[in-house]
Amino acid sequence: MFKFLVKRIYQMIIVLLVVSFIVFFMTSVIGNPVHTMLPERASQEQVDQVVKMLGLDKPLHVQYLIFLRNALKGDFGRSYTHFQPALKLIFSRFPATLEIVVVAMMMTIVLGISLGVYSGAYPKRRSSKFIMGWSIAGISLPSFWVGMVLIFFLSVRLGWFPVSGRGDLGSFFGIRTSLATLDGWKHIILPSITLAGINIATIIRLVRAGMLETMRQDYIKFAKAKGVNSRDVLFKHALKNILIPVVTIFGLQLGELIAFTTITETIYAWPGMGKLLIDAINNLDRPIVSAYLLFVAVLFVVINFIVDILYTLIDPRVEI
Amino acid sequence: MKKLLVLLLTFAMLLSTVSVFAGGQTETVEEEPVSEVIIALPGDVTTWNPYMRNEVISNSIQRHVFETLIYSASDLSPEPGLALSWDANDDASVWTIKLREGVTFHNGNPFTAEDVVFSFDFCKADGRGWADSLGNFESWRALDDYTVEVKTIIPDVLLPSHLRNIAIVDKETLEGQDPEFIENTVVGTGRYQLVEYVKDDRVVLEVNEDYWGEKPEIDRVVFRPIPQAGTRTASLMAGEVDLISNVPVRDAEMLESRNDVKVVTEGGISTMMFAMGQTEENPSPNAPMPIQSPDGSNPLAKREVRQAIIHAVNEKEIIDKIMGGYASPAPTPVPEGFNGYNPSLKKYEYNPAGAEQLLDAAGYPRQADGYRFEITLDAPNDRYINDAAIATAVAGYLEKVGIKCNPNTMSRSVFWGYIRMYEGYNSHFIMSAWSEPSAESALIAKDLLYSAYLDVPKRDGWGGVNRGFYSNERVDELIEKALATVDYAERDKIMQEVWKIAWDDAALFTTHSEDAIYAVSPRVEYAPRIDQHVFAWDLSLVE
Repeated sequence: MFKFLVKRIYQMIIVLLVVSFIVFFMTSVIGNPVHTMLPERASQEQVDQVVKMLGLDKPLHVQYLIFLRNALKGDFGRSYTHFQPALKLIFSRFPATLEIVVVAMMMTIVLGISLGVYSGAYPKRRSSKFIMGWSIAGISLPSFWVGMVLIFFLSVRLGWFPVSGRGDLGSFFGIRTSLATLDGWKHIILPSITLAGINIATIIRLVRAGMLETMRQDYIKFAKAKGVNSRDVLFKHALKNILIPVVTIFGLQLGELIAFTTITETIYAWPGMGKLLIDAINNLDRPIVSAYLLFVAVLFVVINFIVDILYTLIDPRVEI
Repeated sequence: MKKLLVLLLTFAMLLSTVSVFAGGQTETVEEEPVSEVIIALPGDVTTWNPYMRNEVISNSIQRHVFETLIYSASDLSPEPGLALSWDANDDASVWTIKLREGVTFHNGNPFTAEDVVFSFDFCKADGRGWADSLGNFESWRALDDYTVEVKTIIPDVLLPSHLRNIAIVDKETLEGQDPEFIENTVVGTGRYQLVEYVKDDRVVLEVNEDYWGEKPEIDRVVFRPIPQAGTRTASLMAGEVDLISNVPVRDAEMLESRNDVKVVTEGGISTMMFAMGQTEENPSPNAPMPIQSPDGSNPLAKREVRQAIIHAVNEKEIIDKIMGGYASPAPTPVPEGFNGYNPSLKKYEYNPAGAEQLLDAAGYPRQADGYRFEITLDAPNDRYINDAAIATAVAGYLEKVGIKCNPNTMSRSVFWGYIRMYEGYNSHFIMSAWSEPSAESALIAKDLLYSAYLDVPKRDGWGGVNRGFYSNERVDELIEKALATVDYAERDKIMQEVWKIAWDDAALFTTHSEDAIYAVSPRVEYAPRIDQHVFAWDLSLVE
């Protein structure tokens, strides 16, 4: 176990180095941020002054080494648009994103697995076909469109939910989160549904496919013959055997959700990290883009690590 | 079951480790206000340092809290702000500014000349968005507690227009502090004080009870940034906000048909302009799609060719079909009402046949493939209303008269670097918009018309946006003369002549000025400004 941990940490360092290298050099070729900062009629003297202040006049490899050295200290520089330390900005926006991700993932687990198991166990029923039809819609409909439609019908027409924004914050075990207030929940439902749509659909299809294959196995027939009740057959025997791919996809979805909620956050004016990222890209705000991508890289590595641990819990035969 | 528990536990662990990074968010602690208005703009104020960014949303929100020495009235004429009067010596090289007395900052500190000097120092040292306003300031000092003297590098009759741009901050509060503190400490003299700020969520302002001037009608203003236009419109329809800006044309048409909300439009001062690289030598040697002509010359160097291009563009159709009628014709970059506006100048009329004749006479007949020559139009696709559509339309108009025109649209994040003068030499035909909030066309001409040579500027800081490298000695002389003429009417006459010459030379052309579209809930009425700054004191509650 310890060896496993050490190997994983070693791999993480390599991944981070490669990512930092790619991120740094890519952001340095997409445009000169000084041009978006200064008005066009700024004199050459002013341009030079700002270039020097930002350290952009040094040769590229020197800039990279300085960037690495500072990154190890956790200093990614000050955002070019917000003038706050980049990492601090990202962390201050992280809770908001995490909130909608948590709610969306909870919906995914509950609805995805239960509906997937059902439609996999009883594929011929009309209700199963209905679920599958909706899962195709869930995968194909763009989240952008789904968000706008939800807002139009549920907020504007019916007035059940607020249109956009994050609700009031409350305290939950010392953590400030909008999930601790009723107002917060009212605001979070629509964005979470928008986010979860495609994930629920994917999990339903995955679980169903796994169930269809597993239910034909001999040991299931044997369990039924033995007299095990149908719920245990489904959840205690069949489901566990198909969980490995599901957990893998789930881990990927989780990472992807945390990193790229941009569209949903833009539609619902949700003050999370995704909106911060897209603005930073448009404004050529290199400190934020580099800090963000490295943060996401760490996140994916950690999530995959946890997924691997979960494998051993699900399937005792797996060794790490 | 045990496994499920372990799963949940792992998840909870993840959640709690991550929440350690939960950032600080300010609490709200205020009593019930009397009147509150919620305004939804497409963006947030990106920084509370008033010198770092020059961008209309940040400016709008910051001006509620910070003030400048001189204000822009709604017709853009200068009005006393924190300064009561400003006078120049005979040649406008030394300006004496008398400050308003009895003004206090939100924290109670008195406003004096020291704060003005500090503000100018601060802006000069690191004011990325506004430092160019101080470009001509040689030195400044406080003569006494309420008088400031400014010396200019060259005589500058339009110094007051620069004084509209520099916010005044409290020396005692900000002196010697680090950027962190400055970013989080917002103390100004304005009509409102900052009560709560949650980035990208809300800006809550409450009226400054000790304001020196007329107190605004609305006690509490909340700015909510809603970047998606459809969501903004939905918020207004659901009654969640009172005022929205940047309403898309389709939504405006839909909102007009409703009884509850009202659509308010106002003409703007920015004009969509097209620069044509008119040097004999190839102005864009590095262009990915360069100028191609049968004899290798630059067709845009010929005045007849430029005139033909202007005759080929149907700006009326652009206004009607692309802008949906929400735009006004703009024959020159000078809006009506500006100093130097010349009412006799109308855009060359739409005349494709005439354009073809001009092109033939200029020596560029149609070749075997039907085209006379080839150029590329560089334009942004995410900066102005329908910008990509307009660029494509203009390219289409030119194709009709035999000019092969490639519309090359790109994101604004690369556009500004791509077309920057003296950098890439990528462009010879450029579309962008220009506006000058001071209502002085001499400043427009200084940027757009003053000579710029292909390899170096004629004069550093002048002709900085003369992307077509237009050069006319007489125009240069007149612009310099105008900027040294104190008398408004005199300057107006000189500038009218400047624009007439530029118009005759077909130096550049403009098609339209986009309207700003706003919408309000039945609770309020709004009188928009033509410079598109959104201020809460332009709103009034409906009784």
